[in-house]
Amino acid sequence: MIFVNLLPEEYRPQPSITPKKAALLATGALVNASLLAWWGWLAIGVSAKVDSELTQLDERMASLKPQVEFHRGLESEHRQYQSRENTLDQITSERISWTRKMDELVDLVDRGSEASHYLIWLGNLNVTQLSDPKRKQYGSFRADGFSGSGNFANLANFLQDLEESSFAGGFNPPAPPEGSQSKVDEELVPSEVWSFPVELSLKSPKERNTDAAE
Amino acid sequence: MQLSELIHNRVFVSVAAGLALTGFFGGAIYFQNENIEEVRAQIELRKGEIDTAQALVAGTPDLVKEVVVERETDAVVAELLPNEEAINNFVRTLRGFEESAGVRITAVKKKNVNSKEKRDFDRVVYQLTFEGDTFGLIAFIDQVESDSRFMSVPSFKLTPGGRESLDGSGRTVHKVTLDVETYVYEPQKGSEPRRIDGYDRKVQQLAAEIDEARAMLQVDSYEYLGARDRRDPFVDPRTPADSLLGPMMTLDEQIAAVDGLLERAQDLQVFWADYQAMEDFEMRVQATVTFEEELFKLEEDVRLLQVEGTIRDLSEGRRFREDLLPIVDELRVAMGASQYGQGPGFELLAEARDVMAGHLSVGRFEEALAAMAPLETGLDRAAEDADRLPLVNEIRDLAFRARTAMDFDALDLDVGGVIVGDYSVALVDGISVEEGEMVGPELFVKSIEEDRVEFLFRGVALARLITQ
Repeated sequence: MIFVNLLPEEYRPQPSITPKKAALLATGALVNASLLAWWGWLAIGVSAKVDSELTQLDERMASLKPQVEFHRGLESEHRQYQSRENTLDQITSERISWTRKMDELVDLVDRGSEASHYLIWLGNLNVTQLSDPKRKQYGSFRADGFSGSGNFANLANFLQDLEESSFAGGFNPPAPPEGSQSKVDEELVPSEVWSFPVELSLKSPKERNTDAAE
Repeated sequence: MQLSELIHNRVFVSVAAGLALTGFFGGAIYFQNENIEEVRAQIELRKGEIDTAQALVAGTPDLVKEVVVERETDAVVAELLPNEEAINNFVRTLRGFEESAGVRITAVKKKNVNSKEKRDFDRVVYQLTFEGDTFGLIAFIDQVESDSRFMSVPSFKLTPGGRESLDGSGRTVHKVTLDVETYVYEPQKGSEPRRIDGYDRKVQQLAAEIDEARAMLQVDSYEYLGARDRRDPFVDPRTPADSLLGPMMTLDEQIAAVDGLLERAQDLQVFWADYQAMEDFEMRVQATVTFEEELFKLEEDVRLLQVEGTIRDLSEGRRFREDLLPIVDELRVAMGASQYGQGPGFELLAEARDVMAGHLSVGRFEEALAAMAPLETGLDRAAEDADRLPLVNEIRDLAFRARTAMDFDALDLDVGGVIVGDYSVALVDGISVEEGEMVGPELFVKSIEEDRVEFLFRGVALARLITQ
């Protein structure tokens, strides 16, 4: 027997959902539900946790800030003092005790050495102390020297004693001996005199301090 | 299919709505994740900042200590270097140096110093011109360098005065130009110093470190002891030929003379050391006589050279003055004032007296006389000195007693027996004698006892035991 549905199209009963469609709809609903759950976990769980952690860290940082500012302030003050101290060190370390140098020179000229007998005196003296590391010039000690003897070897003896004396500390070695005989003055004893230059250049402050330490 | 039909298709609507929801949730998750990552990045950043801050703050206690020490030592820096106000005092200080160094300042000029860099320390240089001898110059530099304020002498020039340039004291006056440099301390304004809790307590706790830091800032100075008889090295030391009158010695002769005297003086030093170690009195007396004689001769030779002025070489003159004379003086002080040719000295006489008395007390008469023998020839001269006369008398008395005792021992006396009672008698050389009776030349019976008879021989009481 054949049934013929004569109802218009819109009044006819709709065909039921096929299993395929039902599976598709269920999968879609499941995916969306999972996504909703993930979002919820992120928003309520993870995000709140990290926000809370950040807040705690901010508070901790805020509590440290005054201590850090105090430390920075002290550091600034410390740097100022260090700068002053370094400048003072530089000033004082470059100073040469000319009292000591002149006293030692007087000793040497007056006493000579046990082995050498010479009669030495000095003329114009010019002492300068410079600080020019680029040109490696740190000053000099220059004087006219005189030896009361006809024996030229006395100059070498004196310059050798000078080089070996404590006076020479901080100076570069003197130039090799050279000189010339001055006019003979018969009114004085000894009458013969040799003139010679006494020239010593200063070492750098660092080398001078090393010499002094030795 | 029309859109209206699609909308009426429930399946289509469901799928579309599902896809829309999926898209919405995906987007929400994405942005949420982005936000979380951003917060996490901030967390990492903050953690880093906190670690840095904590590390910084952990060093605060040490930094506080350093700053406390530096604040306290900064006062020393201020003392060491003048400020602008103190620079006027600096000039007044130079005037004080002039007086104590014995120089005469003729010009003071402040030098212009170009300082490009603004620092806490500004260099100030004064150029001084003054007149004085070399030792005045050194004394002046010494004053500058040893002042409590930091000053230095970066340069100086000396033009020697000639033989005619003498001051009132006969010193040759040189012309000196000298720069004196100092630094004015004007700290640059920095940040306001932080308040340190318990500052005073920390200062007390760090007292040792503060003292050490202050000591480090102090500038060492040299101890200058003055001219010390040294000649001025900027004066021609040669002697005018016309002043060299009288006996002359060549340089070799002068060296030999000083060497010879020095050797004798050094030998006497050794002799004196040996003498101090001698214990035997006779040897000591003999050594004293020899030492006194040698020292007297040495002093005479030294005096002769001084009077004649024959040591004219500067080096030998210095050796004579500084090496020889101190030894001779030292020996003379050790020996006591010279009494050469005036008999033995007070101390020697006193020692001789004590030695003789010691010998006599134990009956060693010969030793007592031997102790006096080396001095005997000089006793008469010593007796001329009122201070030594009592000692000479004591020694002579002891010697007399020793000789008397020896003579008494030499007497052939036979004391045979005694009767002691109200009327005591002794049998001497077979003759009965009583107390007070003379038994020989200068020999009297002084007392009679049971075991001995005491005689008075030349005024000295001496006893003889009774022969059994």
